[in-house]
Amino acid sequence: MFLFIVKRLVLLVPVFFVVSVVVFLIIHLVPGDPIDNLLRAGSSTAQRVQIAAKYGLDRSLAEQYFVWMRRLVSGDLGTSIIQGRPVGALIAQNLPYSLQLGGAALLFSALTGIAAGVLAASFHGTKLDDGISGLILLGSTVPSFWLGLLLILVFAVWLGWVPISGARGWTSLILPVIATGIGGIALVARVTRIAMIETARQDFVMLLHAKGLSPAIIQVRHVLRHALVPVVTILALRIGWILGGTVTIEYVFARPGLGSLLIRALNQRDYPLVQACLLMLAMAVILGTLLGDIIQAAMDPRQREVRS
Amino acid sequence: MLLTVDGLQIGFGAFSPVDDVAFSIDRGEILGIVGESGSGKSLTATAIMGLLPRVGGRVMAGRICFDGTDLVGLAERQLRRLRGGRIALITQNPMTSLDAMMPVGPQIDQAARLHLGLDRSAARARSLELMADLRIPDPARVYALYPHQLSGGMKQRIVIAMALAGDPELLVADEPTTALDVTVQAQIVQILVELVKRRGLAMILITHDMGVVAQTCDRVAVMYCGRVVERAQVNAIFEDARHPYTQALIRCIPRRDMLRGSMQPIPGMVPTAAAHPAGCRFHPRCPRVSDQCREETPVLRTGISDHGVACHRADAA
Amino acid sequence: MKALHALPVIKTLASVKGSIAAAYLLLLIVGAVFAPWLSPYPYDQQDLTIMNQPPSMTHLMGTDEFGRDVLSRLITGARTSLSVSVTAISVSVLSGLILGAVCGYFGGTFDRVVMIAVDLTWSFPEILIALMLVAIIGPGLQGVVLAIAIAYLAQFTRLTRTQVMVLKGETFVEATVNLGAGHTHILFAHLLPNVLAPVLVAAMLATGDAIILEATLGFFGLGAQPPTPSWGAMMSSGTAQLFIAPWVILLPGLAVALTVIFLNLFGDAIIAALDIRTKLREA
Repeated sequence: MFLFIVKRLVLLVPVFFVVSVVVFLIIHLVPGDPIDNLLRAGSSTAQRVQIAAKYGLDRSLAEQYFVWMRRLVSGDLGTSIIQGRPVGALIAQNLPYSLQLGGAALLFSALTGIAAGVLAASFHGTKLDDGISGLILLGSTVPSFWLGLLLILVFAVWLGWVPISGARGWTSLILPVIATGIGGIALVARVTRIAMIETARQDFVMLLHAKGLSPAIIQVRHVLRHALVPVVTILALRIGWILGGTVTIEYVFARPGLGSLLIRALNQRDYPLVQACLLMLAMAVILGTLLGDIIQAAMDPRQREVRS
Repeated sequence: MLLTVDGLQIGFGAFSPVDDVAFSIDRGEILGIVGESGSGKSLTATAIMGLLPRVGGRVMAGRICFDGTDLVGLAERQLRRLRGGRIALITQNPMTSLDAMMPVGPQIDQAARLHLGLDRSAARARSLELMADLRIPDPARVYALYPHQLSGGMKQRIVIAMALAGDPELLVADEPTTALDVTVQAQIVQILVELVKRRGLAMILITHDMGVVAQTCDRVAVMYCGRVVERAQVNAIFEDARHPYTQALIRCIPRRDMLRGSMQPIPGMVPTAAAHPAGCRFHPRCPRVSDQCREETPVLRTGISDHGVACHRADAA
Repeated sequence: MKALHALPVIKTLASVKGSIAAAYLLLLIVGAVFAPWLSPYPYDQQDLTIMNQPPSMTHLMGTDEFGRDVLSRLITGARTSLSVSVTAISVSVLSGLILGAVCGYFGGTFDRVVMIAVDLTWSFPEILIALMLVAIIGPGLQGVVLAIAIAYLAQFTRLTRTQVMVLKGETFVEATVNLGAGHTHILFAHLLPNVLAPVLVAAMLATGDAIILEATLGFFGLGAQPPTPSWGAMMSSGTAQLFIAPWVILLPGLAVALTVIFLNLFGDAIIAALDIRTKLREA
């Protein structure tokens, strides 16, 4: 298992390299002089010289990348053009909110999705199954930000049950988690349902019934355990997709976080901040996918052996 | 009699793949149910286990009497108490019959814990004993292994141990050796026969292999298209088969002294439940077919010494 | 041959969900194409005396914060949203078909490099890829089109590649090779027509996702710039009015949701009619 994790980590190095190169190149690909992209309009010549020296802009692209990377590793992410504060501090301030929302949404969509899938599969072919399948389709087609707005309107404005926006207290987390998680729920429920139905058709399930075990125990202890393998696989593959939803939802709910920070930076063309946000989000996706992979390998005895 | 099946008819939607099946079995006996695939023998086993609803079928008529209780119409809760306890199933394919994500030992424990009320450690001790009994080498090590780490023969022994764990009186073995290598087949058959004799179990052995029947069974029921066409002591079947289908099956057994090319396959195919012919269902493939066979369904007539045959022309040849 | 091609179309339209979805989509397309003639008011006609009015007989879907008719903007917005998504997905499908076909047919180093890139983008959410590209290209509709096209490129490349690899092994291709046909001829005349069906269905489903993506980017203020209406941009400018005039946001969102649902239903009906579910699952 340890070897497996090390192997996966080594595989991530090139991925991280490519992502960092793309993010690094942003300031060069954006039309205009990179110095202008790194400075507030109307800066003095002295400031320009200082920035050029700091970023090594007179040197080759490869050298510039290494200069950038070295500063990145030492924790210097540059300075926000608009806010004038170190980008590192802005990220550190916003990251916990994003992790909180992303983690909660992931957990929520996994648990609710699995529960819905198990329910639909256990009542396969009945009205309940049809109802859940319908909700799954609805959940995978409704834009999450619109659902967020709808939730705000109903629960915060009309009913007044929870705060409208911001990030004060756990109640302000409820609506964002639901809005972020809905797509994930639909995905997880769909995969769980199909996997449960397919597993229940296998021979060994028949033999479990022949042992006299109760159907509920068979469904939960045996069938679900098998069905969870594809569910975790899909979660591992699409973990980034669920985390990506937080970007949108943070903006809708005016919650602090990397997503709102990124959108604001994009609209203000605050490139150092854009770079840092994108890099952090990409890192979150990469690490999330790795985590999913490890859980998946730990679950299946057959895989555990092949992979370690 | 421990189990008596009488007039059993199984329905699947509009079809009846099993019709008017009757046989009985007592403790210490092995009853062979023989037939080609599609003869309804596995469905009969499923019906005895009370698992027909799981595959989408139901009992339309008849009785399945186990030790004085009719299992047909018994509540699911009561059926569940019998299943894996007094009546146990051994399935066809050991490769797919075990839960791949659970070590094999605890899978054996389940029935003992459920039906004998043993706790975890007592169930484990019992499983280890059973495994040793079935000549599984190093039971304590195998107990913790996963199915994919075992060979086919070992897996089938685990499946048998699983069936024995609930201390059954009746074993229903549905093609227990079909998926195994020939050498392993012989071992498993031997183990099963020993079990029945030593523990005084009753076993229904479902197979398409007349060779296995000759080696193991006390009595035989031959099924064709969902009906029992002949039923007798094993000697009577091999020495004095009356039904043309039984005779054809016996001619299909490969023997060492056979000349190349002298094995005779039965011409034609088994019709599906949707296309059962009228009259005697074997008549399209029968060498001795008469007009009566095409119109009138023959019933199982029992003559001397419990030898029953369902054929209009049984005495003709 | 023609009759054979017509059969799935008939089957699709004959199914209940297929016909309902087709009717909705047709209505939408007609609305988008003839928007200038169908909308009751010019989409950019401001009238500050009737700001944020709820739906009424004169303005069926109410007015927004500048007193513009929401229904007219919705119809015109359909034009923007649909054309952006359809253009983006078309670009994506075309590039994916060529890239995937070349990879699947020739294999080799090129294939390996492309597949690494495809795998790389696969794990990243489309919205993140799109935001990264918008960061480079800058806000605006061209940026959105390009961002969506690239975000979905991996999916079509992978699908085409798998299909081409499966087909390549089949006998009719070998027979054509034996007849002395060139690679280009085999690829374009024989392989691509056969992979078209699953790719086009996937494209239809992706169009639904693209509409959501366009709306999301528009909502962030990174898509259509005022006064051009798109469903996303309408919701973006409506956020401030959420408490006074919720219809300004709810209606475009509903339009997005309905369109995506019907695209999915239509795609489902086609998948059932063409019997290609397994092909789609392989990729």
